[in-house]
Amino acid sequence: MRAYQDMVFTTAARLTGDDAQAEDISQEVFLKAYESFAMLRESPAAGGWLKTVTRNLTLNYLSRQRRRWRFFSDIARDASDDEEPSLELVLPGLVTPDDLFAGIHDADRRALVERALKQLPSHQRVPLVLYHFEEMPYQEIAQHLGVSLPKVKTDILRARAALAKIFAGATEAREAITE
Amino acid sequence: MTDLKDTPDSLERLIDGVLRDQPLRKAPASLEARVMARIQLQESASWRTAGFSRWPIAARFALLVALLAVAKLTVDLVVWLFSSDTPVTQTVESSVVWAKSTATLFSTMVSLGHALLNAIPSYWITLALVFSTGLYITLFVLGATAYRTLYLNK
Repeated sequence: MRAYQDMVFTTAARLTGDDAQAEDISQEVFLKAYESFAMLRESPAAGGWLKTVTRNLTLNYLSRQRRRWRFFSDIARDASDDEEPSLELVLPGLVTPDDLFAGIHDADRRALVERALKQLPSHQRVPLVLYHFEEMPYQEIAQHLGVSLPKVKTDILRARAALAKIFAGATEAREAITE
Repeated sequence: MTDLKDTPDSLERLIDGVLRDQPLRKAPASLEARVMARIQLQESASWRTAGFSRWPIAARFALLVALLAVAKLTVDLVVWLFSSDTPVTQTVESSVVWAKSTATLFSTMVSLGHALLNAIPSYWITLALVFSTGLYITLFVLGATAYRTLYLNK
């Protein structure tokens, strides 16, 4: 369990954006693993099994939550989803992540990225995490989330733009302080 | 200056680079203890929810003894009811009387409710219904607004 708990917790936390929920989901994942202990004990694919179970349990959890609150949360959001993605974003000399986070310590940078992910709305964060961390193709994400392919692409594009804005803002704020 | 408006591929590469560099987060220290506690709880409860053949020998024996004791008590009770001086018919009759009085009480209450409804003017009832519906809708909308304001924007 110790070998995999960080991976399981991180996957759930990035998808949900909530540490308490991620801990609950991680607990369920390890209880399922315990039920399949005989099969997993010697299996070299235990890590992959745990990652898949974590992802599926988290997506099930999020979809239950979405259904429960659909009436409240989706009415206003659906209207804005039809708009073209806004990428009015101008960043100075962006080439690599190191340029973007110039002057920011590694630990601060890691914390900044995790905070930025949490700030994204779930309909942007979930497909973004599935694409960049879980390496799922767009089509598979659309199937898992039960939404159209263009919507997945739009949400991921918006999420990237929002993250870049947050990172650029943090860098500018740091530069202003050091000047 | 690089304008990402024209370079969504650059943006994808940039964000991909940032996210892939991100290490795993540390799981809370409480997670392992929580999982172990749940496993122990399940282990202790599992033999009770499993089939009788998977119970511990002592538990199976204890259940058999308890069942035999209940069977013996049941037989003794039946024998006592029909052989002792206690008249069974009297017991049955008292049960019937109790059921009859309960039915009478119930019908009286229904009649009382009906009379009360007739005594209240019908527009009062309509007003009460409209007020209740309005209150329900108002509270529902307030709840939805509070959820959208306090939870979604958190």
